[in-house]
Amino acid sequence: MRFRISDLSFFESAIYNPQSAIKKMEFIKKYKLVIVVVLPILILVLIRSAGLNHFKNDAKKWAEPSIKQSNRITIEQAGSLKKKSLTINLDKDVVRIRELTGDVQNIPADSVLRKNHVSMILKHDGPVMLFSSDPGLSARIWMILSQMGCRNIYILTNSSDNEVFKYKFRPDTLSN
Amino acid sequence: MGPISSLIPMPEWLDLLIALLIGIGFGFSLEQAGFSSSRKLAGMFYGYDTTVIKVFFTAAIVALVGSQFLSYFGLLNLNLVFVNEFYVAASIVGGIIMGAGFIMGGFCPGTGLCALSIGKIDAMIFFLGGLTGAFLFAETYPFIQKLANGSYKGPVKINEVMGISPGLFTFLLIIAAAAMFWLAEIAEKRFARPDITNEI
Amino acid sequence: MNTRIKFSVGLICLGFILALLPLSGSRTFIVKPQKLLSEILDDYTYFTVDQVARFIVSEDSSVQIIDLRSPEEFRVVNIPGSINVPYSRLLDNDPGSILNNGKTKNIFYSNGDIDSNYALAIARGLNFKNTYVMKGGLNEWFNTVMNSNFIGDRISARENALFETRTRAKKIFTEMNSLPDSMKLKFIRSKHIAAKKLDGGCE
Repeated sequence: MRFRISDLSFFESAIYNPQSAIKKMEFIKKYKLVIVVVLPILILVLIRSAGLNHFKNDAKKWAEPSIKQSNRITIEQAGSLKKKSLTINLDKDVVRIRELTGDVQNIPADSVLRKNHVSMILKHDGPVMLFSSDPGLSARIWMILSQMGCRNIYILTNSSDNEVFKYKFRPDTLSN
Repeated sequence: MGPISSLIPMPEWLDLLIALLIGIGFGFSLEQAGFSSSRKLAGMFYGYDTTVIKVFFTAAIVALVGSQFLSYFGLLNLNLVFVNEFYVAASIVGGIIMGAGFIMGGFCPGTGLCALSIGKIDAMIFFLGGLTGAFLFAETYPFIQKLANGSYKGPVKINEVMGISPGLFTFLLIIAAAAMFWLAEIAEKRFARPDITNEI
Repeated sequence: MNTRIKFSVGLICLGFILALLPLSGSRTFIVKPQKLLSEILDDYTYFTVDQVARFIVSEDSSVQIIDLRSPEEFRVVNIPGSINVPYSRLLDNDPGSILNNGKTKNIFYSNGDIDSNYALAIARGLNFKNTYVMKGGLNEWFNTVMNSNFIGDRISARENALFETRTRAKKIFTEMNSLPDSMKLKFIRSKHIAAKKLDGGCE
């Protein structure tokens, strides 16, 4: 940004080269109005884009893996992962899953958004898997984390057929 | 946040009252800026006075920039804002008719009403012409229905068609507008006519 | 310095900032993460299949049931009165056209527990507070309502009421889904029109 007043070289030049400093002063004076409008907006934008306190991403784009179902992983598949995985157990009870080789962290769902937890998920190099005995809870938490910009997160389920219709409907043709 | 009337349930009269007040404000500013003079408006076509394009383009850009910043800060939900639907054929034909009426009458519909309200006779004739046009349109609608509803594209946004982000589109539009203003100023110098500010 | 040039420079600067922003143009979650988290962890966002059965039996008009499965699955079998919005298309158009329907409760369901809960997190994230999930989905509906059988000798008044609701819901469900395909389609179409987008703006 060229309007940075705190720029050190500006003060240096004010001491050593009065001519150019005066020019710069004039420039700032001329564009005072512009600076007064643009600078606060720029600062607000910077504050907003740096914070973790709100969602910034396109909802549809970051929900895409859930539509393609590429974000689901079964315990079996997880056992054969090559990269070091991080499993997050969202339940209050501690679970032990034998097949898992990587790190397992117990983070109850209500504290998953704590700063240190989010940064742990964001920094982890490799798949992060969410586990809960209720796959619906994993799904909800997955959506929040994904919308916050976490890539490489998966839902760990016991079986891959949660969304498969398991019954057969028998029409009652007599009632017509 | 979104358009007020879709957020807070309000009676119809209040909705209409707000519209009336905004309309009066709009008309007043148009009048004050000299837009009730057909010479100023026609100047756009002859190049000696390009205030119209500057004012309306600036208004659009300021609104665009403002609404996008508000949306970024979570204060305005742009998804609740109505997007006009695009009928290609109707837009072209309608645009030509509107443009012809504009240059012949010396007003656009809004400024025509402004001039009417300060008692300009030509504006009254212009307004009658507009009403006649609306009447003819309604009466002949069955014949031109195919054209009016032809090549419907839905509520499209230009940036989506171009495949760029809304912010980038805004930036490009501002650059284009600034370039156009610069050209307009050149045209004003080239086709200059005596100043009419004191006459209107 | 010319005011017009100043104004142009200011606008260009603002435009430059906008160009760098990740303005998605479409939808971004508007509820704050922490608030959304506490909302979706709350049990009141769930309805049991029995509660949904009661809504259907009592023909509760404040409830809209939304089926998130594919149209093919929907055509085979669906909960009576539900509308079909496949999960993959939930965000294609404005979800407000489906969820801003004046109903106090929009209840999502899918076959299981995953898609419906994605949809809930999305809807709540977009600040549609009138959204809920039918826990267990259609599988649980079949397990509880369709296959309900009373085993035992004595029945309490509460159990009896529950049972009656299930039996009546089952009857409505079977009747509606046993209709010939052509009639089902007609019914679905009429529902579809009712859920069409509202018009607005300057016309």
